[in-house]
Amino acid sequence: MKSARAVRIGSGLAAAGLVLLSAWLPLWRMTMKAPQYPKGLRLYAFGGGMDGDLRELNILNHYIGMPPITAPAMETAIFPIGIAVLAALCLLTPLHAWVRRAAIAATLIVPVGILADLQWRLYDFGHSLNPTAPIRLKAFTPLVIGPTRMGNFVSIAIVSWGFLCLLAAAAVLWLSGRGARPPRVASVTAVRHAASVAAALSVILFPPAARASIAPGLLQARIDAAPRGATLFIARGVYQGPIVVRGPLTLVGEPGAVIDGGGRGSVVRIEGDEVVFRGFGVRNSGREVTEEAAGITVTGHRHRIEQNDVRDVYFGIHIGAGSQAIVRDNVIAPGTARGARPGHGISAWNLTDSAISGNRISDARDGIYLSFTSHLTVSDNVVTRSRYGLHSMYSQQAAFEGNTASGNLLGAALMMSDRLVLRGNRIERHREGAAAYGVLLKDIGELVADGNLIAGNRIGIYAEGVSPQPGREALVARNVIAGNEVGLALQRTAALTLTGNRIADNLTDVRALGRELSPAMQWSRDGRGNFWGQYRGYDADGDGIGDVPYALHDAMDAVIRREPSVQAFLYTPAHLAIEAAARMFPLYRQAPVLVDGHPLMTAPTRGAR
Amino acid sequence: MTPARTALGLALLLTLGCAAHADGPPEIVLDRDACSRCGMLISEARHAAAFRTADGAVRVFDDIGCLRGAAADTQGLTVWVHDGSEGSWMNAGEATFVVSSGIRTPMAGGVLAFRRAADAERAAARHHGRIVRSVTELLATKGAGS
Repeated sequence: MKSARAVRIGSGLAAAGLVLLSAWLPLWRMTMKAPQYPKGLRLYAFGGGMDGDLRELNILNHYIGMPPITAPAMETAIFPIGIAVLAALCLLTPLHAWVRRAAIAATLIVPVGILADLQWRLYDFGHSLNPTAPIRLKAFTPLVIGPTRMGNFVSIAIVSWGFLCLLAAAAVLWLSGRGARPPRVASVTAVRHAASVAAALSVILFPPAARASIAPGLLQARIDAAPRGATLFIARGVYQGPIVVRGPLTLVGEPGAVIDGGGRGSVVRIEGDEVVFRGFGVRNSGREVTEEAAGITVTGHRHRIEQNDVRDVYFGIHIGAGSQAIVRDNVIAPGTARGARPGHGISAWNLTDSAISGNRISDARDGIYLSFTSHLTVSDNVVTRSRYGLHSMYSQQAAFEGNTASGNLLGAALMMSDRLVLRGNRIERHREGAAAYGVLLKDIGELVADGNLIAGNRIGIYAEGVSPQPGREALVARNVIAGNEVGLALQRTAALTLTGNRIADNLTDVRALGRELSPAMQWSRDGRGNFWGQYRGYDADGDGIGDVPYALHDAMDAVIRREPSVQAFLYTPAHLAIEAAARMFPLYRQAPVLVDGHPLMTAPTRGAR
Repeated sequence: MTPARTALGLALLLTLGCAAHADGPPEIVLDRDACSRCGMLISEARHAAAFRTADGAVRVFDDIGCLRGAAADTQGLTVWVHDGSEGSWMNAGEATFVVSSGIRTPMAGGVLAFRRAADAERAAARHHGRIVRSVTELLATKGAGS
């Protein structure tokens, strides 16, 4: 009997010890793994509160609108008392079988209750998401035991040593016999100790709710944590880049959300497919030309880059090696910060079937630069204060429609490209530098240049090497080419067909840059020529077509060719007098520069048939 | 001074300003001077090149590929290119070239020049390029964009 009693007392002590031990050990733990956290993030539940990678977790939680993880006040207050009562019960077990049974029940109920409480708390967390949070998720319930998937996080929850201690205490009591002994005073100190440790833990381990600080890597962590195809709303603030976005993913910057690249490489790199990147300020890329750093570097298919404000970068948007992209309504100003020369506003290379529209670009090398692209539509963009407004190199089937290029060094340079459309653009005020052309056409094949306003440039259209294949043509139709110093300046290698254009009020309407224009130049098509400001013919039959052909003589050009220093008199009354004299008294007359057999009597409306 | 004379004076100054140094490479004003082959404005110093023919005529290019295309007769030609790392002028005789269609240049000439052979090796590795050790060899073959 003595040994049985000793066993009862011993088991009571052991159970009490295990119960007290559980106050120090974690009762439960959750491990969250994601690609950006290869080692995982851990959350522990102690009797005194929560511990683990709380800072990271609370920052992540902040973005999905979850309340910060704090020690639940009621539970942490009750726990030390509960443990003390449990330990006391355990020590009292030798007294009576009923005490033992009560102790067993208690040591089982307490951990199960803790689990139930945790599950309720987890449910509560997953269902009190703030709807104004940057990332909106559906309400969810992390399981208290087992795996839960949330974004690309997988959380695995399991009971921990403290919990097992409580179960072990119950088991020890269960296995022991019966007996009686009053509780030992020593245990009170232990209980007090446990309580104070728990209190200390709750103070140390639970800092105030995480601030909305935006540390480097944080935005990246959130992007990586987002499920495939999710939509992230990013709150205002300056985020440290560089950032990599892998699709499919939608990233929406709320007003004032800015990503700063810190002057190294590209600020935002978009990879994979189907990324929507909208509404961000993007700043401060690297300036290394060799790296081709950009505000936004894009590769892959079906991306949409919209409504961003990109400045202080080398390239604005550098997009290539992909297809079906939409780049629209961005404001891009690479600028000359820190003395570096700017790159292109939008640089597209090796890109197909894409649309670039509604962007406003300034202070770039070329506003929109296409290189080795096919089937691109460039529409309704505005480019100012750049080198070339629009620039196509080695590209096929590019359509430039409704764009405005104004005050650049050159408006639209179409070079080494084929099957081009230039329709309804405004190309104005290119007057500076060695190549101050509204439109440069060089070494291109088929072209439709239709309904454009080409005005106020030094040279409206410059062309060389335009030689379409038989059966195709370089058609220049229904444009207004006005107010330029030279309307069209053409090398002998340019074979264009002009019809329905208004060519008026240029100081020189057409200038042959070689000895003569190409014999393949066509100044009318299907019996319709162009409206010439200088035409002084008549239309007796009233069909709208002048009855005498228009022959352009460039008297002043002839004089300048003979005596270049006469250029100093360009645009002076003397110049105009010579032009007038040449018209009235054909003294200087040489072979005409061109003859339009079907000149129009009235100026056609731009773009009208 | 009459406006006409001012204009003449300015024109004279501009002409002198554009003149080449007696022996060295020409001065190129970026975004103002155009390539004498393709006509594009020269905007990237790193890719700009130039040569002087035996009879003293100087031509500037926006892309080494354009120079390659324009250098029909290499006899008595003095060629300058920019170092692809530092972007400074150098005599092409001292350069190691890297040729690759993966090098994006203004006219897709795909050639970079380097003063240091090690830089050339690095660029060749990066762009899967071919190393050309001398300007004579470079001009003997016409590449893309020429």
